[in-house]
Amino acid sequence: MDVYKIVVIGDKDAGKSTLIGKIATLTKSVSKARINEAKKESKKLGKDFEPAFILDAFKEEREKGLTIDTTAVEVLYKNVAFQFIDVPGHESLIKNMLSGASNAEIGVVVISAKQGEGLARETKLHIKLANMLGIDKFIFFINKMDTNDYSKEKAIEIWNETHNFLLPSINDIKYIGFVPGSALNGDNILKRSSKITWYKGGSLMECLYDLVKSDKKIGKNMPTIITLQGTFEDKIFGKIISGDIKQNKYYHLMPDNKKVSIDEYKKNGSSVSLKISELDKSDIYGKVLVEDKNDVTVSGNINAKMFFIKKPEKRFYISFLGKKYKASLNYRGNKKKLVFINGTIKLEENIAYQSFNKIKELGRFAIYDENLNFNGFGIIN
Amino acid sequence: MIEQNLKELEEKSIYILREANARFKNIAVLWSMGKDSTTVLYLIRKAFLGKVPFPVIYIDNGIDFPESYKFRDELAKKWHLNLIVAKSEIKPEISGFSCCGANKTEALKKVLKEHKFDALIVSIRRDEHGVRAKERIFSPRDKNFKWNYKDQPAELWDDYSSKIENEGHIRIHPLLDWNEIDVWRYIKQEHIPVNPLYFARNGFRYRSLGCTHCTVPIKSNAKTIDDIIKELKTTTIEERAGREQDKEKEFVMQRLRALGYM
Repeated sequence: MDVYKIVVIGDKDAGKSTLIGKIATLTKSVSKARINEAKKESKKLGKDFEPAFILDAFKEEREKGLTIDTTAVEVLYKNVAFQFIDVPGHESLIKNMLSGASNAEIGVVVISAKQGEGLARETKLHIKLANMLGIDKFIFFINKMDTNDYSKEKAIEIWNETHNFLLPSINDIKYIGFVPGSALNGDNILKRSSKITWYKGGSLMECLYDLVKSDKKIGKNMPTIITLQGTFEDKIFGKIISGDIKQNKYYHLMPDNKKVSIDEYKKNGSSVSLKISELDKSDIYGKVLVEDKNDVTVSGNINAKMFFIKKPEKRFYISFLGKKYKASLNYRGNKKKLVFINGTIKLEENIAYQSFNKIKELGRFAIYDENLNFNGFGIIN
Repeated sequence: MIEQNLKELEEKSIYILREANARFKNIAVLWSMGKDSTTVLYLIRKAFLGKVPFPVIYIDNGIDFPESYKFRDELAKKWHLNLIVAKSEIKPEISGFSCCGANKTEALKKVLKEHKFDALIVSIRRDEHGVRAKERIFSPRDKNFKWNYKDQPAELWDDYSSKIENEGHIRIHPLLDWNEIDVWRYIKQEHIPVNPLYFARNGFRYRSLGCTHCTVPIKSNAKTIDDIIKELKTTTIEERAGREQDKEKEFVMQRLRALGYM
């Protein structure tokens, strides 16, 4: 069965881990032992049952009541499988948030309706980053509605504020949903809550179910593109990222611009092993095979939208298809941390790429600083 | 228990293994003779043209089950495994947490150092334990095997980090996405040999295998792979319920993993 990947984002303490823990408990997706362990530990720390402890398995996470690193739990609801990805909300842990969100298709944004909380700066940052990573479907869960007597006015106020932020900030959105509820009390999680009579829509899980059911994955007639990942004996390994492979057909090795023909191949799904006798196998990692040369652009100048965690330096590395390239950027703007930059980076050598909108795998890269520490990511325009 | 698409799990595991092969010079694989690490050996054969091109480390504490030793020797011969047996000493006064920590982990440290392995393929799964669920696909350890879980490297998409710090190594986790039931469904589909201890005898079977000192069987009448799959669909018991090191005290798994346990 297909598993739909949902990342739950939002500010620290908005209730992300609690929400996933509650969904996992209500759908009986984790073992009794794991729930009992979480209950026992909650009690030891003088708390009522914290569903978040199902996700927050580290001692430090439980004692401090925060998520340090991303994790995931699978949930079965009406015979549809969802993987809920938990991420930390703290700004200082943004690399862990990106690690979790990069694998998701749908975003659930948790916003606390508690007095003094609401749509926070971190939540806005999360939404922008998730959208940049390619997530175009969001459901907003207005959490902690029990703290304001399930007030319609408060929910609408948050929703209006969110809506005003979304319009100019995010792109190519396919779906936006809105569910008020309470993760801790289980309101509007699985079943519709009787306490929120003014809200006529579905529960969070009902909305997610409808969303994935209406989301038909159409197998388009895509060009063949294979990324290469090294050799073994006389074979070359790769991954088919679009289209399909044919024997005795000519392909172009890019960025080398060399015409080759595939003598033999063996597929395990998208993972392939290829025999190409006329190819120098010593230097193929990170290169691509394409049917039509025009399916990729070959250049060392890449125009991209980038996000830097620490202040951007003039020189850094990008990791593209697993290979690191030296890059430089002439950036004159205000150097801050957590900054978005639209610009052209110059690489030390040419790569074969495509815009992120057309082929995701060939249109994205991770950013590392000069000491090879992670410092963000980029999406090719 | 969610049954995932085996084709997709397989292609991703093969991708991960080939990626490891492209990035590291000296890889080893850890084999416990259990269902997960045997499945990984099988996936390695699929990824590398029917061969297991990496040395296979087996940590021998001398107190594994006789069935396991027989299974080990038969499979090692059949699949032409380059087996490295790392002897670990069992001290009767040490048990539980200290046993796995002191004995198994120490023996592994010695082997890795001796052979200068820079990557170790380990068959953990996310659904086994909340702490294992926090792992990356490529996960660094320092030279003392310490897992810096408070500051793991970023892992966006399938862009895995292979940066090794101060003579450490990288753990490769090709089975992280699989569920217990997926492993059994795959074993059935591919006819993978499996340790006989998993099948019920006299109303008991092992669901998770450790050594004789700290593993207890569960009540079960599952005599075939089909029976096991059927049992897993309805059970509410934790897979590692028979493993002492998981429940001895709170956060035992976290402490063990932080010290380098698998």
